[in-house]
Amino acid sequence: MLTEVMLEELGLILFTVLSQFAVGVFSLLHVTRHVLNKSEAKSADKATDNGFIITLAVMVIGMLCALFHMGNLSHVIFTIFNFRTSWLAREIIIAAVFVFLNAVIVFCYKKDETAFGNGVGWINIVVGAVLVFAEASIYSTSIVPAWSNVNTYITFYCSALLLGVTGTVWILALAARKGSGRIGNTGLLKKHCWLSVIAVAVPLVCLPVYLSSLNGLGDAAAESAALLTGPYMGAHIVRWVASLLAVALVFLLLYKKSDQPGSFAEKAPIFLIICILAFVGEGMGRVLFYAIGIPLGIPYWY
Amino acid sequence: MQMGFYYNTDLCSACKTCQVACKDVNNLEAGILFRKVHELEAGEFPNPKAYNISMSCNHCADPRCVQNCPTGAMYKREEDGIVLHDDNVCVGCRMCIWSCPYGAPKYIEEKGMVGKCTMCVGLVEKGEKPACVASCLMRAIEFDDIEVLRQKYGDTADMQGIPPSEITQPSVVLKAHRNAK
Repeated sequence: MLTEVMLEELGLILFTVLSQFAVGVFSLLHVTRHVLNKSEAKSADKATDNGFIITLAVMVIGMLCALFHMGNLSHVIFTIFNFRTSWLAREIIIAAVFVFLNAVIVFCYKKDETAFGNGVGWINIVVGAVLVFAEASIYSTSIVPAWSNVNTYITFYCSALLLGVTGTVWILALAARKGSGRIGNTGLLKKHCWLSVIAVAVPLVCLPVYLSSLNGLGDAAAESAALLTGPYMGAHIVRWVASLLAVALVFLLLYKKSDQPGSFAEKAPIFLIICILAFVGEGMGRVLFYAIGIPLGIPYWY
Repeated sequence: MQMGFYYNTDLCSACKTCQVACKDVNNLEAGILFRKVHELEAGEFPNPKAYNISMSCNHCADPRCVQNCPTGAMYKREEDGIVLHDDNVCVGCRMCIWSCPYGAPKYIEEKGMVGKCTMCVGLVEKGEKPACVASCLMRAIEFDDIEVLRQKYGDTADMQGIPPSEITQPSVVLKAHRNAK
Protein backbone atom coordinates (compact mmCIF):
# COMPACT_ATOMS: atom_id res chain seq x y z
CA MET A 1 0.00 0.00 0.00
CA LEU A 2 2.90 2.33 0.78
CA THR A 3 4.31 1.62 -2.69
CA GLU A 4 0.92 2.50 -4.22
CA VAL A 5 0.88 5.83 -2.40
CA MET A 6 4.46 6.49 -3.43
CA LEU A 7 3.71 5.88 -7.10
CA GLU A 8 0.43 7.80 -7.01
CA GLU A 9 1.94 10.87 -5.36
CA LEU A 10 5.48 10.57 -6.75
CA GLY A 11 5.28 13.93 -8.50
CA LEU A 12 4.34 15.74 -5.30
CA ILE A 13 6.79 13.77 -3.13
CA LEU A 14 9.66 14.66 -5.47
CA PHE A 15 8.56 18.29 -5.83
CA THR A 16 8.22 18.96 -2.11
CA VAL A 17 11.47 17.21 -1.16
CA LEU A 18 13.53 18.67 -4.02
CA SER A 19 12.16 22.18 -3.57
CA GLN A 20 12.86 22.04 0.16
CA PHE A 21 16.39 20.82 -0.62
CA ALA A 22 16.83 23.75 -3.01
CA VAL A 23 15.49 26.30 -0.51
CA GLY A 24 17.58 24.87 2.35
CA VAL A 25 20.80 24.66 0.38
CA PHE A 26 20.31 28.06 -1.23
CA SER A 27 19.73 29.75 2.12
CA LEU A 28 22.62 28.09 3.95
CA LEU A 29 24.98 28.49 1.02
CA HIS A 30 24.21 32.19 0.80
CA VAL A 31 24.75 32.69 4.52
CA THR A 32 27.98 30.66 4.31
CA ARG A 33 29.17 32.82 1.42
CA HIS A 34 28.35 35.98 3.36
CA VAL A 35 30.23 34.81 6.48
CA LEU A 36 33.24 33.52 4.54
CA ASN A 37 33.44 36.72 2.50
CA LYS A 38 34.57 38.55 5.62
CA SER A 39 37.72 36.41 6.04
CA GLU A 40 38.38 34.51 2.83
CA ALA A 41 36.53 36.24 -0.02
CA LYS A 42 38.09 34.41 -2.97
CA SER A 43 37.51 30.94 -1.57
CA ALA A 44 34.00 31.95 -0.53
CA ASP A 45 33.01 32.73 -4.12
CA LYS A 46 34.68 29.62 -5.55
CA ALA A 47 33.25 27.35 -2.86
CA THR A 48 29.68 28.47 -3.38
CA ASP A 49 29.27 29.52 -7.04
CA ASN A 50 28.50 26.01 -8.33
CA GLY A 51 26.13 25.40 -5.44
CA PHE A 52 23.70 28.02 -6.76
CA ILE A 53 23.69 26.27 -10.14
CA ILE A 54 22.84 23.01 -8.34
CA THR A 55 19.94 24.60 -6.40
CA LEU A 56 18.61 26.09 -9.66
CA ALA A 57 18.79 22.73 -11.44
CA VAL A 58 17.20 20.85 -8.52
CA MET A 59 14.36 23.36 -8.25
CA VAL A 60 13.65 23.17 -11.99
CA ILE A 61 13.67 19.34 -11.85
CA GLY A 62 11.31 19.50 -8.84
CA MET A 63 8.88 21.74 -10.71
CA LEU A 64 8.97 19.43 -13.73
CA CYS A 65 8.21 16.48 -11.40
CA ALA A 66 5.18 18.37 -10.04
CA LEU A 67 3.75 18.47 -13.57
CA PHE A 68 3.27 14.68 -13.38
CA HIS A 69 0.63 15.27 -10.71
CA MET A 70 -1.50 17.30 -13.12
CA GLY A 71 -4.09 15.49 -15.17
CA ASN A 72 -4.29 18.02 -17.98
CA LEU A 73 -0.99 19.66 -18.86
CA SER A 74 -2.52 21.86 -21.55
CA HIS A 75 -4.23 23.84 -18.76
CA VAL A 76 -1.10 24.34 -16.62
CA ILE A 77 -0.99 28.08 -17.39
CA PHE A 78 -4.33 28.51 -15.56
CA THR A 79 -2.84 27.28 -12.26
CA ILE A 80 -1.82 30.81 -11.29
CA PHE A 81 -5.24 32.37 -11.87
CA ASN A 82 -6.71 31.95 -8.37
CA PHE A 83 -3.81 33.57 -6.52
CA ARG A 84 -6.31 35.47 -4.35
CA THR A 85 -7.45 32.45 -2.31
CA SER A 86 -5.57 29.31 -3.41
CA TRP A 87 -2.31 28.38 -1.69
CA LEU A 88 -1.52 26.05 -4.59
CA ALA A 89 -1.65 28.96 -7.05
CA ARG A 90 0.48 31.03 -4.66
CA GLU A 91 3.00 28.20 -4.30
CA ILE A 92 3.38 27.88 -8.08
CA ILE A 93 4.00 31.61 -8.48
CA ILE A 94 6.41 31.78 -5.53
CA ALA A 95 8.32 28.74 -6.85
CA ALA A 96 8.66 30.47 -10.23
CA VAL A 97 9.95 33.62 -8.50
CA PHE A 98 12.47 31.53 -6.54
CA VAL A 99 13.75 29.94 -9.77
CA PHE A 100 13.94 33.32 -11.51
CA LEU A 101 15.90 34.97 -8.68
CA ASN A 102 18.20 31.95 -8.40
CA ALA A 103 18.89 32.23 -12.14
CA VAL A 104 19.59 35.97 -11.72
CA ILE A 105 22.12 35.20 -8.98
CA VAL A 106 23.88 32.56 -11.09
CA PHE A 107 24.06 35.09 -13.94
CA CYS A 108 25.34 37.87 -11.64
CA TYR A 109 28.09 35.71 -10.17
CA LYS A 110 29.16 34.63 -13.65
CA LYS A 111 29.37 38.26 -14.73
CA ASP A 112 31.16 39.29 -11.49
CA GLU A 113 28.21 41.43 -10.38
CA THR A 114 28.63 39.99 -6.91
CA ALA A 115 27.24 42.92 -4.91
CA PHE A 116 23.94 42.85 -6.81
CA GLY A 117 23.87 39.05 -6.68
CA ASN A 118 24.40 39.08 -2.92
CA GLY A 119 21.50 41.50 -2.46
CA VAL A 120 19.19 39.37 -4.58
CA GLY A 121 20.36 36.34 -2.58
CA TRP A 122 18.95 37.76 0.68
CA ILE A 123 15.64 38.44 -1.05
CA ASN A 124 15.57 34.89 -2.41
CA ILE A 125 16.12 33.45 1.08
CA VAL A 126 12.88 35.19 2.12
CA VAL A 127 11.16 33.96 -1.06
CA GLY A 128 12.34 30.41 -0.25
CA ALA A 129 11.00 30.64 3.30
CA VAL A 130 7.65 31.87 1.95
CA LEU A 131 7.65 29.02 -0.60
CA VAL A 132 7.99 26.41 2.16
CA PHE A 133 5.20 28.19 4.06
CA ALA A 134 2.96 28.09 0.96
CA GLU A 135 3.70 24.38 0.45
CA ALA A 136 2.68 23.61 4.03
CA SER A 137 -0.39 25.86 3.77
CA ILE A 138 -1.73 23.84 0.83
CA TYR A 139 -1.98 20.82 3.10
CA SER A 140 -3.04 22.70 6.21
CA THR A 141 -6.12 24.06 4.39
CA SER A 142 -7.19 20.57 3.27
CA ILE A 143 -9.81 18.38 4.94
CA VAL A 144 -7.16 15.88 6.08
CA PRO A 145 -6.80 16.19 9.87
CA ALA A 146 -3.29 14.66 9.79
CA TRP A 147 -2.16 17.54 7.57
CA SER A 148 -4.19 20.49 8.77
CA ASN A 149 -2.11 21.41 11.79
CA VAL A 150 1.15 23.09 12.77
CA ASN A 151 3.09 19.81 12.45
CA THR A 152 3.00 20.17 8.64
CA TYR A 153 4.83 23.51 8.89
CA ILE A 154 7.36 22.09 11.37
CA THR A 155 8.02 19.04 9.18
CA PHE A 156 8.45 21.03 5.97
CA TYR A 157 10.76 23.67 7.48
CA CYS A 158 12.86 21.06 9.28
CA SER A 159 13.15 19.01 6.07
CA ALA A 160 14.43 22.10 4.29
CA LEU A 161 16.94 22.64 7.11
CA LEU A 162 18.27 19.06 7.23
CA LEU A 163 18.48 18.70 3.45
CA GLY A 164 19.99 22.19 3.35
CA VAL A 165 22.75 21.36 5.84
CA THR A 166 23.70 18.02 4.26
CA GLY A 167 23.53 19.47 0.74
CA THR A 168 25.54 22.57 1.64
CA VAL A 169 28.25 20.58 3.40
CA TRP A 170 28.53 18.24 0.40
CA ILE A 171 28.76 21.17 -2.05
CA LEU A 172 31.43 22.91 0.07
CA ALA A 173 33.43 19.69 0.41
CA LEU A 174 33.16 19.07 -3.32
CA ALA A 175 34.48 22.56 -4.07
CA ALA A 176 37.30 22.09 -1.56
CA ARG A 177 38.19 18.74 -3.11
CA LYS A 178 38.49 20.34 -6.53
CA GLY A 179 40.77 22.88 -4.91
CA SER A 180 38.53 25.76 -5.99
CA GLY A 181 37.39 26.83 -2.57
CA ARG A 182 39.08 25.59 0.57
CA ILE A 183 37.19 26.47 3.73
CA GLY A 184 39.36 27.60 6.61
CA ASN A 185 36.46 28.60 8.85
CA THR A 186 35.71 25.32 10.61
CA GLY A 187 33.67 27.17 13.23
CA LEU A 188 31.06 27.91 10.57
CA LEU A 189 30.84 24.25 9.61
CA LYS A 190 30.35 23.37 13.27
CA LYS A 191 27.38 25.72 13.38
CA HIS A 192 25.92 23.78 10.45
CA CYS A 193 26.16 20.65 12.65
CA TRP A 194 23.91 22.24 15.24
CA LEU A 195 21.39 23.26 12.60
CA SER A 196 21.13 19.63 11.47
CA VAL A 197 20.57 18.57 15.09
CA ILE A 198 17.75 21.12 15.39
CA ALA A 199 16.27 19.92 12.07
CA VAL A 200 15.81 16.41 13.45
CA ALA A 201 15.28 17.10 17.15
CA VAL A 202 12.33 19.50 16.72
CA PRO A 203 10.06 17.19 14.66
CA LEU A 204 11.11 14.21 16.78
CA VAL A 205 10.15 16.02 20.00
CA CYS A 206 6.87 17.12 18.40
CA LEU A 207 6.03 13.58 17.21
CA PRO A 208 4.42 12.28 20.44
CA VAL A 209 2.38 15.50 20.77
CA TYR A 210 1.30 15.17 17.14
CA LEU A 211 0.27 11.53 17.52
CA SER A 212 -1.65 12.14 20.73
CA SER A 213 -3.39 15.19 19.24
CA LEU A 214 -4.49 13.07 16.25
CA ASN A 215 -6.11 10.58 18.61
CA GLY A 216 -8.36 13.33 19.91
CA LEU A 217 -9.46 14.73 16.53
CA GLY A 218 -12.01 12.18 15.37
CA ASP A 219 -12.05 8.97 13.37
CA ALA A 220 -10.03 10.09 10.31
CA ALA A 221 -7.25 11.56 12.46
CA ALA A 222 -7.20 8.50 14.73
CA GLU A 223 -6.89 6.27 11.65
CA SER A 224 -3.91 8.33 10.49
CA ALA A 225 -2.24 7.88 13.88
CA ALA A 226 -3.03 4.16 13.84
CA LEU A 227 -1.43 3.79 10.39
CA LEU A 228 1.74 5.53 11.55
CA THR A 229 2.08 3.39 14.66
CA GLY A 230 0.75 0.18 13.07
CA PRO A 231 1.23 -1.00 9.48
CA TYR A 232 3.65 1.82 8.59
CA MET A 233 5.76 1.48 11.74
CA GLY A 234 8.63 -0.16 9.80
CA ALA A 235 8.76 2.66 7.24
CA HIS A 236 8.45 5.17 10.08
CA ILE A 237 11.49 3.69 11.80
CA VAL A 238 13.47 3.73 8.53
CA ARG A 239 12.52 7.41 8.12
CA TRP A 240 13.93 8.41 11.50
CA VAL A 241 16.96 6.09 11.47
CA ALA A 242 18.07 7.48 8.09
CA SER A 243 17.65 11.12 9.16
CA LEU A 244 19.27 10.54 12.58
CA LEU A 245 22.16 8.66 10.97
CA ALA A 246 22.70 11.57 8.56
CA VAL A 247 22.83 14.01 11.48
CA ALA A 248 25.11 11.76 13.53
CA LEU A 249 27.56 11.41 10.64
CA VAL A 250 27.53 15.16 9.89
CA PHE A 251 28.16 15.79 13.57
CA LEU A 252 30.94 13.20 13.79
CA LEU A 253 32.73 14.33 10.64
CA LEU A 254 32.35 18.07 11.05
CA TYR A 255 32.35 18.64 14.77
CA LYS A 256 34.71 15.97 16.06
CA LYS A 257 37.13 15.58 13.18
CA SER A 258 37.03 18.93 11.44
CA ASP A 259 40.36 20.08 12.84
CA GLN A 260 42.34 17.43 10.99
CA PRO A 261 44.06 19.13 8.02
CA GLY A 262 42.61 18.30 4.59
CA SER A 263 40.04 15.96 6.05
CA PHE A 264 37.05 18.06 5.00
CA ALA A 265 37.85 18.00 1.27
CA GLU A 266 38.71 14.30 1.27
CA LYS A 267 35.36 13.42 2.74
CA ALA A 268 33.30 14.81 -0.15
CA PRO A 269 32.10 11.31 -1.21
CA ILE A 270 31.06 10.56 2.39
CA PHE A 271 29.16 13.85 2.55
CA LEU A 272 27.38 12.84 -0.65
CA ILE A 273 26.32 9.57 1.03
CA ILE A 274 25.12 11.56 4.06
CA CYS A 275 23.13 13.82 1.74
CA ILE A 276 21.55 10.74 0.12
CA LEU A 277 20.77 9.37 3.61
CA ALA A 278 19.00 12.62 4.45
CA PHE A 279 17.04 12.32 1.19
CA VAL A 280 16.05 8.75 2.09
CA GLY A 281 14.89 9.83 5.57
CA GLU A 282 13.01 12.94 4.48
CA GLY A 283 11.71 11.22 1.32
CA MET A 284 10.33 8.32 3.37
CA GLY A 285 8.85 10.87 5.77
CA ARG A 286 7.08 12.52 2.85
CA VAL A 287 5.77 9.17 1.55
CA LEU A 288 4.35 8.53 5.02
CA PHE A 289 2.90 12.05 5.10
CA TYR A 290 0.80 11.26 2.03
CA ALA A 291 0.07 7.69 3.12
CA ILE A 292 -1.52 8.73 6.41
CA GLY A 293 -3.61 11.45 4.74
CA ILE A 294 -7.05 10.11 5.64
CA PRO A 295 -9.64 12.75 4.72
CA LEU A 296 -12.69 13.73 6.70
CA GLY A 297 -15.71 12.23 5.03
CA ILE A 298 -18.64 9.90 5.19
CA PRO A 299 -17.55 6.41 6.20
CA TYR A 300 -18.89 3.41 4.28
CA TRP A 301 -18.34 -0.30 4.47
CA TYR A 302 -18.98 -1.68 1.03
CA MET B 1 -30.37 33.24 -3.43
CA GLN B 2 -28.81 29.91 -2.50
CA MET B 3 -30.31 26.70 -3.81
CA GLY B 4 -30.02 23.60 -1.65
CA PHE B 5 -31.18 20.06 -0.91
CA TYR B 6 -33.33 18.60 1.85
CA TYR B 7 -32.67 14.98 2.81
CA ASN B 8 -35.16 13.02 4.85
CA THR B 9 -32.94 10.16 6.02
CA ASP B 10 -35.90 8.56 7.79
CA LEU B 11 -37.41 7.88 4.38
CA CYS B 12 -34.30 6.85 2.44
CA SER B 13 -34.34 3.11 1.73
CA ALA B 14 -30.98 3.04 -0.06
CA CYS B 15 -32.63 1.95 -3.32
CA LYS B 16 -29.95 4.04 -5.12
CA THR B 17 -32.36 5.28 -7.79
CA CYS B 18 -30.99 8.82 -7.26
CA GLN B 19 -27.48 7.49 -7.77
CA VAL B 20 -28.49 5.78 -11.03
CA ALA B 21 -30.42 8.82 -12.29
CA CYS B 22 -27.44 11.06 -11.57
CA LYS B 23 -25.10 8.67 -13.34
CA ASP B 24 -27.46 8.57 -16.32
CA VAL B 25 -28.01 12.29 -16.66
CA ASN B 26 -24.27 12.99 -16.37
CA ASN B 27 -23.35 10.04 -18.63
CA LEU B 28 -20.77 8.78 -16.14
CA GLU B 29 -18.50 5.77 -16.65
CA ALA B 30 -18.45 2.81 -14.25
CA GLY B 31 -16.89 3.68 -10.91
CA ILE B 32 -17.67 7.42 -11.03
CA LEU B 33 -20.57 8.67 -8.90
CA PHE B 34 -21.49 12.33 -8.49
CA ARG B 35 -24.21 11.22 -6.06
CA LYS B 36 -23.69 8.33 -3.69
CA VAL B 37 -25.97 6.60 -1.22
CA HIS B 38 -23.99 5.98 1.95
CA GLU B 39 -25.06 3.19 4.26
CA LEU B 40 -24.01 4.23 7.74
CA GLU B 41 -23.86 2.35 10.99
CA ALA B 42 -24.33 3.35 14.61
CA GLY B 43 -24.79 1.75 17.99
CA GLU B 44 -22.87 -1.12 19.52
CA PHE B 45 -23.41 -4.84 19.81
CA PRO B 46 -25.97 -6.13 20.76
CA ASN B 47 -27.85 -3.07 19.47
CA PRO B 48 -26.36 -2.22 16.08
CA LYS B 49 -28.21 0.38 14.05
CA ALA B 50 -28.09 1.41 10.41
CA TYR B 51 -29.35 4.27 8.29
CA ASN B 52 -28.79 5.69 4.81
CA ILE B 53 -28.06 9.04 3.31
CA SER B 54 -27.83 10.12 -0.30
CA MET B 55 -25.14 12.72 -0.77
CA SER B 56 -23.58 14.72 -3.60
CA CYS B 57 -22.09 18.20 -3.76
CA ASN B 58 -23.78 20.32 -1.10
CA HIS B 59 -23.10 23.60 -2.92
CA CYS B 60 -21.69 24.97 0.33
CA ALA B 61 -21.98 28.61 1.39
CA ASP B 62 -18.23 28.55 2.10
CA PRO B 63 -16.94 26.01 -0.44
CA ARG B 64 -13.34 25.08 0.29
CA CYS B 65 -13.02 23.51 -3.18
CA VAL B 66 -13.61 26.95 -4.72
CA GLN B 67 -11.18 28.60 -2.30
CA ASN B 68 -8.39 26.06 -2.91
CA CYS B 69 -8.77 25.50 -6.66
CA PRO B 70 -5.66 27.10 -8.23
CA THR B 71 -7.19 27.70 -11.64
CA GLY B 72 -10.61 29.01 -10.66
CA ALA B 73 -12.21 26.03 -12.43
CA MET B 74 -14.41 25.58 -9.35
CA TYR B 75 -16.67 28.57 -8.95
CA LYS B 76 -19.89 29.55 -7.23
CA ARG B 77 -22.66 31.13 -9.31
CA GLU B 78 -23.82 34.38 -7.77
CA GLU B 79 -27.44 34.11 -8.87
CA ASP B 80 -28.24 30.76 -7.20
CA GLY B 81 -25.12 29.72 -5.24
CA ILE B 82 -24.62 26.56 -7.30
CA VAL B 83 -20.98 25.41 -7.27
CA LEU B 84 -19.94 24.59 -10.82
CA HIS B 85 -16.82 23.30 -12.52
CA ASP B 86 -15.27 24.68 -15.70
CA ASP B 87 -13.67 21.92 -17.80
CA ASN B 88 -11.96 24.54 -19.94
CA VAL B 89 -9.52 25.56 -17.20
CA CYS B 90 -9.33 22.53 -14.86
CA VAL B 91 -5.75 21.24 -14.68
CA GLY B 92 -6.63 18.01 -12.87
CA CYS B 93 -4.54 18.79 -9.74
CA ARG B 94 -7.21 17.21 -7.48
CA MET B 95 -6.89 19.98 -4.90
CA CYS B 96 -10.71 20.15 -4.75
CA ILE B 97 -10.83 16.48 -3.75
CA TRP B 98 -8.54 17.25 -0.80
CA SER B 99 -10.79 20.19 0.09
CA CYS B 100 -14.28 18.67 0.12
CA PRO B 101 -15.40 16.90 3.32
CA TYR B 102 -18.27 15.26 1.38
CA GLY B 103 -16.12 13.67 -1.33
CA ALA B 104 -18.15 15.43 -4.03
CA PRO B 105 -15.55 16.18 -6.73
CA LYS B 106 -14.50 13.03 -8.59
CA TYR B 107 -11.37 12.61 -10.67
CA ILE B 108 -12.16 11.31 -14.15
CA GLU B 109 -9.04 9.55 -15.41
CA GLU B 110 -9.98 9.63 -19.11
CA LYS B 111 -10.51 13.40 -19.07
CA GLY B 112 -7.56 14.12 -16.78
CA MET B 113 -9.76 16.40 -14.75
CA VAL B 114 -12.44 16.53 -12.10
CA GLY B 115 -16.22 16.43 -12.43
CA LYS B 116 -19.03 16.99 -9.95
CA CYS B 117 -22.75 17.46 -9.33
CA THR B 118 -24.04 20.57 -11.08
CA MET B 119 -27.43 20.39 -9.35
CA CYS B 120 -28.58 19.48 -12.90
CA VAL B 121 -28.29 23.14 -13.75
CA GLY B 122 -29.50 22.52 -17.30
CA LEU B 123 -32.73 20.93 -16.10
CA VAL B 124 -33.20 23.52 -13.34
CA GLU B 125 -32.89 26.39 -15.84
CA LYS B 126 -35.71 24.76 -17.82
CA GLY B 127 -37.86 24.75 -14.67
CA GLU B 128 -37.39 21.04 -13.97
CA LYS B 129 -36.07 19.31 -10.87
CA PRO B 130 -32.58 17.78 -10.58
CA ALA B 131 -32.58 14.13 -11.71
CA CYS B 132 -31.97 12.77 -8.19
CA VAL B 133 -34.93 14.70 -6.77
CA ALA B 134 -37.29 13.74 -9.60
CA SER B 135 -36.31 10.06 -9.47
CA CYS B 136 -36.42 9.47 -5.69
CA LEU B 137 -39.10 6.81 -5.11
CA MET B 138 -39.46 7.71 -1.44
CA ARG B 139 -39.50 11.48 -2.05
CA ALA B 140 -36.66 11.66 0.44
CA ILE B 141 -34.84 14.42 -1.47
CA GLU B 142 -36.19 17.90 -2.11
CA PHE B 143 -34.65 20.85 -3.89
CA ASP B 144 -35.44 24.54 -3.42
CA ASP B 145 -34.11 27.85 -2.14
CA ILE B 146 -32.29 26.83 1.05
CA GLU B 147 -34.14 29.49 3.06
CA VAL B 148 -37.48 28.00 1.98
CA LEU B 149 -36.25 24.52 2.96
CA ARG B 150 -35.05 25.84 6.33
CA GLN B 151 -38.42 27.44 7.00
CA LYS B 152 -40.18 24.16 6.18
CA TYR B 153 -37.82 21.70 7.86
CA GLY B 154 -35.55 23.60 10.27
CA ASP B 155 -31.86 24.34 9.89
CA THR B 156 -30.18 21.08 10.85
CA ALA B 157 -27.19 20.32 8.64
CA ASP B 158 -25.46 17.98 11.08
CA MET B 159 -26.02 14.31 11.70
CA GLN B 160 -24.01 11.42 13.10
CA GLY B 161 -21.67 10.12 10.40
CA ILE B 162 -21.62 13.36 8.39
CA PRO B 163 -18.66 15.79 8.62
CA PRO B 164 -19.45 18.86 10.77
CA SER B 165 -21.30 21.58 8.83
CA GLU B 166 -19.11 24.31 10.34
CA ILE B 167 -16.26 23.41 7.94
CA THR B 168 -17.95 24.54 4.70
CA GLN B 169 -21.55 25.45 5.67
CA PRO B 170 -23.30 23.05 3.27
CA SER B 171 -26.54 24.20 1.64
CA VAL B 172 -28.52 21.26 2.96
CA VAL B 173 -31.23 20.59 5.52
CA LEU B 174 -31.22 17.15 7.10
CA LYS B 175 -33.90 15.22 8.84
CA ALA B 176 -31.73 12.95 10.90
CA HIS B 177 -32.69 9.28 11.00
CA ARG B 178 -33.83 8.03 14.39
CA ASN B 179 -30.75 5.79 14.48
CA ALA B 180 -28.43 8.71 13.79
CA LYS B 181 -29.40 10.76 16.80
